[in-house]
Amino acid sequence: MKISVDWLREYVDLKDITAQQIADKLTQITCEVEEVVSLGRGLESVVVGKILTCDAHPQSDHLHLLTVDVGKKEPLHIVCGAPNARAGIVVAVATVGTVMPDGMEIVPAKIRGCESFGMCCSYAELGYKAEDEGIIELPLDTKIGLSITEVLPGLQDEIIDIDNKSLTNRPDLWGHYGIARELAVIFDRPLKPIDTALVHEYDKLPALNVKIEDNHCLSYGAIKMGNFGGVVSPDVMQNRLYKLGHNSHGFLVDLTNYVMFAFGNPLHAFDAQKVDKISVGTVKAGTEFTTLKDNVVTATKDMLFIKSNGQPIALAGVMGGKNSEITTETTDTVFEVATFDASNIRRTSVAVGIRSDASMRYEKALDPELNWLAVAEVLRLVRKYAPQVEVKSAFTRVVADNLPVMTREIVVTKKMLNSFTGVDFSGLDDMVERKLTGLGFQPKIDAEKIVVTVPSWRAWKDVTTPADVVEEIIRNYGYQNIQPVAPLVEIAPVPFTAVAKAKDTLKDLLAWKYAFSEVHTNIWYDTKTLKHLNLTAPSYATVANPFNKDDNQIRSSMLPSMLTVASLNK
Amino acid sequence: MNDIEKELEQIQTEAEMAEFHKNYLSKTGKLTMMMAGLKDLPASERAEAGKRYNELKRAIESQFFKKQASLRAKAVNEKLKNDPLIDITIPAIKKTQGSLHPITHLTRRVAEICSSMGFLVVDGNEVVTEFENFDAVNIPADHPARDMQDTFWLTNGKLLKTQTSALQHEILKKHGPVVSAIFPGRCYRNEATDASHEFSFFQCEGMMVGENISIANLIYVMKTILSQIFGREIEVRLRPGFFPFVEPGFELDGSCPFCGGKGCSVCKHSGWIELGGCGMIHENVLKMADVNPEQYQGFAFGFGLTRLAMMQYAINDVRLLNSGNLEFLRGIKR
Repeated sequence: MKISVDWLREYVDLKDITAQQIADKLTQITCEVEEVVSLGRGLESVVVGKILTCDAHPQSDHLHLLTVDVGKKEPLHIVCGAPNARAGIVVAVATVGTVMPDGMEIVPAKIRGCESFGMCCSYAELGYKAEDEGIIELPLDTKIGLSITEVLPGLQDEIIDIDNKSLTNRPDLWGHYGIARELAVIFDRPLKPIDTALVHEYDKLPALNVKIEDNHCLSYGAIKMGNFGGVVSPDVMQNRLYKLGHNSHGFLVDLTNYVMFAFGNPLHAFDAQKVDKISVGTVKAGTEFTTLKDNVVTATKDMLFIKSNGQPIALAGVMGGKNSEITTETTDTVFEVATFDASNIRRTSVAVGIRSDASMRYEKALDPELNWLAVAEVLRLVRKYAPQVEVKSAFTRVVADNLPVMTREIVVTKKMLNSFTGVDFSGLDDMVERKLTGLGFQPKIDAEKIVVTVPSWRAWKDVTTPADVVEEIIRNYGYQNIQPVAPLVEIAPVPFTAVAKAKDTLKDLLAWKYAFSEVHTNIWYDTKTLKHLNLTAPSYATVANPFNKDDNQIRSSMLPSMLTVASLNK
Repeated sequence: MNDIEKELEQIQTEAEMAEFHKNYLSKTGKLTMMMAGLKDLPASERAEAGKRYNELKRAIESQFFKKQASLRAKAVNEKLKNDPLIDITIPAIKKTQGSLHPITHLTRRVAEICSSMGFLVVDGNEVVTEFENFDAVNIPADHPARDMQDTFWLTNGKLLKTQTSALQHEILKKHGPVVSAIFPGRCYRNEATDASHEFSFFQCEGMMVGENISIANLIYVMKTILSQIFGREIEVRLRPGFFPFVEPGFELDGSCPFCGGKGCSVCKHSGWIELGGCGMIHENVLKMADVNPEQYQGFAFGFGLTRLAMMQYAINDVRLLNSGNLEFLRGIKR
């Protein structure tokens, strides 16, 4: 999973901490960082310029000859091929000496006989976002001569790539906010609280018709909004998604992806015209369903679907449907913010062979309380980037009647903490309290014990036993600070068993006296060899999913493989 | 001196050689007698004379042995040429020595080290039940960890063990609750093979359970075992890692045994190499083996013997280990 340091800064103060320090600390305390990639290095010499004149190139029908004011005494002469180049616009100019993200260095050049001292850049050329419709046009009041890195703050960033496997048991770390919480604890800095109060500002609006029919849907929230026509995805949002490896798909889809990467809760946006009464449950086994990526899925009796008036419109937790997809004509939308049973989503995802960003998260057992953070963020972003949008319903959220325990108290005795870790924690109450509080565990510490209340984002399948709480304490104490201690057990050499000794003797005898060589071979027969040797060999067992479909018989005779080895060595 | 050399040069037969030896080099030979005469010289000359004597004796001996070897070779060649019973065109019988598999060498070493530290060495089956491989080590059905290992299933419902951890349950039940054991063995995973991946490979798992066994003990034991295996002091480093059968779980790094942590191509210049996983045994694993987690606790660790063998014997293609290539196997020395 890719994490943007620039994005993390929105939630936690990381001043004076380098990306490498973040990566090292995460690896020591939280999860495995695979690599850190720097973006936008060396782009300080790309500066804001204003095109003063724009003339046709005498030797070309599409090139322009520009004079561009970059705040120096003399304007720069630049040859430019962009169709939107024209006098009066404010652009980003890579000056001579700049090395572009693709490795190209800007040098003085003669292009079809005309001299050029720089390049007007597009967003894609700067590595800012994928969209590339000519050169960047900045607001006309942008200060000439300013470095582009100050105008587009997300341009320079560090991407921390985390090994997904090391997050298998941490449902809370599948968004930037969760990682920010870890860093806040690691570096003892405050984490920005997320205000969800604005969700309730719409409580008086009519509710949507939403029903949970199957308890594998733990919570389902929906909110309807209108008037999205013509809203474009803001550059900042496109840039952040681009840095994580996602292209822009229009404001609505970008918005759902953005909020998922922020808080870890997947969202879906339906075209409101294609959605009426929503229910979540199963459909008749054998029903065919087409996803928005055109996979045709055949329903089993256990697969969860989102249905509109009983007809499936999304494969729950995995992917939306073609029939309710957002299009360029969509003006009104219903946002889904839901939580599904981890095992159910995992089974569906394996059965249909689709592993989406959503299913990957749901199968880790997400916290249903995340729904509130996610919908609050949607509302905040809509207000900021699409102020004309009208919220048309209350956020209507229903929960299953068998919601798993989302909070619990765990008691860890200090005796257990010391004995389990081999570290004497006396005198470290303050540290323990500070770290556990930062992680959301509300610790109460006395002379004998530590009592914690596990936060909802760690409670479902993650922190369930005293050992889990000990891990939270000891990893923040630092594994490197544990001194090795010899175990206090009786240590006496254990003699090998007679069988083990006999096996060793036999091997030694064969190898050193009779010049045999020990070989390891496959434990299944090679069918082709058997046929070739005209041998039938007794089978010990049959492999259900063999490597090669013909070679599925496990040997109970080693002769065929020994013959093969002999012939290979003749 | 020159006279003696000339005499040696003219010798043609073994008998003459024996005569020469008797005259000069034997106990009563002229050279030996000269040595005896040294003690009659004045002390001031004795050291110098002794030195010269030794030089002379060495020179003559060396000439003698050279001559002896050449005479013998000549005799053998003549016999080969003239003896009708000898056919020198028949190829020689190669004197070959057998070999043990590199995994056997390594497993023996690990077993010796661990048994001397009080660990029981247990041999286990390759075919195990789904319960032993997964449920008993806290990987219930639908757990994402089952995806982490692609399993070879048998039509009888059993499977080829994907991890040596599959033996934890049996050992705890049979030898527990207080037990120290290692269990090396062959494991299988259904994945494509290449120079660094084989669908069958060897792991070595170990565990120690008692009343107060701690993470600090785990670090100590790992450091001791690994230092013994590599024959030099190894530092160990724990990082957070997720394995369902332990809590907390760690990735285990060792300081690079090839450069001592300075950085080399084996450790990709980091000074550390990933050696395996370990952690404190999960209470569910203990409970399922009827061990009371309120009273007993302990650690488990596992490392790849195949990977270790590749490092130790500088094998660059894992497939060689199962190739049955005798030239390769005989080239591996303990």
